[in-house]
Amino acid sequence: MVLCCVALLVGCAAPKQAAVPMSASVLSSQPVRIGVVMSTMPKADTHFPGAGCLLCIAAVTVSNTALTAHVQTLPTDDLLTIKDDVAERLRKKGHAVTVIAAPLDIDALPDRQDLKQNGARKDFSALGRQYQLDKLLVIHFTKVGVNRNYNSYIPTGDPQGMVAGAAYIVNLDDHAYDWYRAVRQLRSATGNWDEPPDYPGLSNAYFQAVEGTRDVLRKPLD
Amino acid sequence: MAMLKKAALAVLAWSLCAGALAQQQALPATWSLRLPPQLAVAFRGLANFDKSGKGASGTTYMMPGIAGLAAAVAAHSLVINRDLEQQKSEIELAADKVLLPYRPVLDAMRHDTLMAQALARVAPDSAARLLAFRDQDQPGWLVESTPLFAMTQDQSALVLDNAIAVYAPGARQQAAYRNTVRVVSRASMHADLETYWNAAQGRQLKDASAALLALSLEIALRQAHSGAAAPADRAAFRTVRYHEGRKEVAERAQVLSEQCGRALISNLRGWLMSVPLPQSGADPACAGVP
Repeated sequence: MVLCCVALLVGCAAPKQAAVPMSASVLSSQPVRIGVVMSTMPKADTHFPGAGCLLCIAAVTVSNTALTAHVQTLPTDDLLTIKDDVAERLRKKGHAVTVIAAPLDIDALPDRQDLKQNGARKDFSALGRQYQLDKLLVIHFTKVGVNRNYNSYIPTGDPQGMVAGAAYIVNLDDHAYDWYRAVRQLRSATGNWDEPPDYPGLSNAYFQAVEGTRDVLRKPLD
Repeated sequence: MAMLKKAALAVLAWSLCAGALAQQQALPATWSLRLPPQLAVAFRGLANFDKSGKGASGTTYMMPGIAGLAAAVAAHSLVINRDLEQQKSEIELAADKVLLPYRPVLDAMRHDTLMAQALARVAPDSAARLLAFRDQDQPGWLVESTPLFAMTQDQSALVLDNAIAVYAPGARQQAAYRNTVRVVSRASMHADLETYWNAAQGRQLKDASAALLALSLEIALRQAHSGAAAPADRAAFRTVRYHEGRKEVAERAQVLSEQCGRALISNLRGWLMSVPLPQSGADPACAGVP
């Protein structure tokens, strides 16, 4: 029974992908056909890690009702423009860039069988064939909105604007990561954050997290 | 002669640009600026709280009953909140260390001198007088200002948060306009900033502070005197990137005007901000703009 539980837990916990720095040769040696795609954008929402027990989740959800209602109205449009921003930089480097307009449902892609270190877990081959690509730059946001850490029932800090996810370049020959960068941008409000109903300071912090994300994804391409 | 010509040009440029920066609205012909009660000018180091707070974790409360659980959570909350307050104070104290090389200059700065210097920089078509905190009221518009200056951690720029109240003539019961005006100076590119700011008994530091103060007063006074456009009539909110020191930062705001490499924006709180834009060209007509 214990072994079964351990096996299940180990099986569920996918290893965290380590950063893969972009080597000088990846995008500078010769022009490549590269696609830029963004995964389906999550809706802006509140996130309360640390509020683990059922009663904690209920208490934290109730105490943050007004904040959550506001955060869910925050737009994510500026995050979508990062794709064009990145594509523009790749074009300036002389690459043939295809911006894939449709959002990519990464979970719906087939898993790769021959997993290797610093290699993609999902199979992007179909996209490569469809758009005639050598490489694919994927921008995958998993959480956007506001994050507030908790210790069970008690907040352990002020809420912060957040954008989390990852960006990576997959070499479609072997599905190795040419570049992998986890994204976790957190920004605090200037001054008081608790300003219902519009939370201007915290909303601004969210937009600052968006711009921070833009900066970290642009930087290796400059 | 050449020096005089240069000075006249600089004054002209300042009057043209400062006015433009504060929007094309007229200043009242006569107005007074009342000094705040404090003598000393408040300065701090610009603090960043992005890394404040503690990580997510969990605690199992072993107290029996609902009352026991509530008591345990309350006690735990007190401990965590005390730690968080302490952490914020530590961040502020650490940020203030950037001011250490400038303490002799900053400790000697007084509101009366600084505000007189600022008034001398405000557009020449407007006659302003300085009132001590307890001086008798004067006819015309009245401005109350509580400035709080900050220096960026790279020491290259100053940021002013000025809490301003403007009273219309004959209506001193309620401010006609009340807002915080933030003005961010352009970053200095000097290699040795300590020497630059401190030279000649801190002349640059005093001049830059007075320039920011003057611009903030003009912005608020023009808004109060000529009437600001309702937020709904302004441009849509967008993220504006600007320089805060040598780094680029962002603010969600409505852009009210752009001139001389600066933008006047209204942020989500409704504060007015005059900020230096990145990659702005060097227009000679804008010499003297902070």
